[in-house]
Amino acid sequence: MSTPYQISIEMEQETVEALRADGYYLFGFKAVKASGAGKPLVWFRTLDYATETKLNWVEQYQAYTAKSEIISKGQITASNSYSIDLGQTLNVTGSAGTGSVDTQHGTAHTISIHNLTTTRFTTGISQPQPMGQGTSPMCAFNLYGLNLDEIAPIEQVLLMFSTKPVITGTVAEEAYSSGLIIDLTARQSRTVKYMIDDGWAWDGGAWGIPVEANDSLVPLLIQGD
Amino acid sequence: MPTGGYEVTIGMAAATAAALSTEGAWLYALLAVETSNRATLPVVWLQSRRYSEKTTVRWPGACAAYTSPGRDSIGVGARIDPGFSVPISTGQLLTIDQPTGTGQVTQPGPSAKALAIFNQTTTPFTAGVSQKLDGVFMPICTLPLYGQSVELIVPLEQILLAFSTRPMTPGTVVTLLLGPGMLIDLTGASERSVQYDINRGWSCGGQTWGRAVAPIEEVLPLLVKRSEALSRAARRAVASM
Repeated sequence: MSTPYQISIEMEQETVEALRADGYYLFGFKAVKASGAGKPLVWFRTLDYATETKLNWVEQYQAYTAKSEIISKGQITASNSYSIDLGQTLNVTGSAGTGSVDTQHGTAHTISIHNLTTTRFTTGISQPQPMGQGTSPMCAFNLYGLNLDEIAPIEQVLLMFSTKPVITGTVAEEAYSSGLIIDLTARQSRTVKYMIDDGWAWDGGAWGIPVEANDSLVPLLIQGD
Repeated sequence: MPTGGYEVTIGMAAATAAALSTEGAWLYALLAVETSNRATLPVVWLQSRRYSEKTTVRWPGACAAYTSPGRDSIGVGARIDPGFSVPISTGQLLTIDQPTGTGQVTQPGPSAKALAIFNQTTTPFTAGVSQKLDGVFMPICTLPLYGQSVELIVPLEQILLAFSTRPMTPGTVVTLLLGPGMLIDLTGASERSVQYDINRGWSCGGQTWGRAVAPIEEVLPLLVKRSEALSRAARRAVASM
């Protein structure tokens, strides 16, 4: 049974109206732990926010391969996606990046992608978006020929409002605006507030980590071993 | 053993070196042993980011035997930190006669081709063999050394090289490297040349002395050869001491 997670965002009506009037999107990013040099991607983008917004998701993953190169602000489109659980391995065997999931082998708490070909791909993991808009990738790594990438999802979500015209799957290296990383490792449900002029607010606990506009997102969302 | 030691040269294209560096990959090296002890485990010998289009790993083949107190945490992921280390050659015997794990090397030992470690005390230790790298003895394997027992270890002329982004400090007990590797046999040779390509992996021109190792392949059977003959020799040696 997949663990459900929830973030509630509370906003005053004035804030919601101002965000709407200026065409702000709510952006979400999700953190992973990995030893390679990866980049975070826009996990979700939505205009579907209100005075009470609930983001719900479950631990349900896909491993993907893609031919897209990881370039700054470029978009990664998963060409081949496979449902996979933690502790399992996607074996990539086809030159188009196709393969199959080995449910018997892998590293605990980690999704492994093993490239058995000599073709380079981009790889990463995807997760269903909280607003029910399908599954989208949250990170992108180079997957060189005959190499193994290991990616461990962590229950930390970065939220920010921005008018930036970028879509899900876009490589994001810097924060578009001030945001908040919400750590759900200790508790699977958290409530935060957003105010148009004062930014993000929470109970001050260590589970909330503020992020400034232009902060580098890579060390925050692609955490080393 | 060649008097000048051993040398393996890794050649790679500049693009491969650049990609490895961008990924933050380390070059790892581990050395193989034959052993009387079934619980012997391999240990990371070299971890380096000093690689380029041409990279040479050079080592003299000089060995030391080490002991370390306790047997509590020796499993995969543990880090070996020798408490006592002494140079030793094949055919010699290290006798541990102090509960602190120290002792003396004498010859001849019980086996002409092996390094022998005899624990004369009743205190168990972690023990193993180190090989010199850049002037420092670094552990290559670890095994449990119980009281009143003898272990025999033969350093083999085989090195496993691998590139992996997983951080594993020298002295760490490992059974998986999670990056592509090549096991290189230097028996009867002091130098070997291999190539690495970021997408095509390791190659040695089809020579039988090189064997590609997949990222998820267990390296324990490649690096630790358990020998019944050595086990019997070790038991005979205990009986005669």
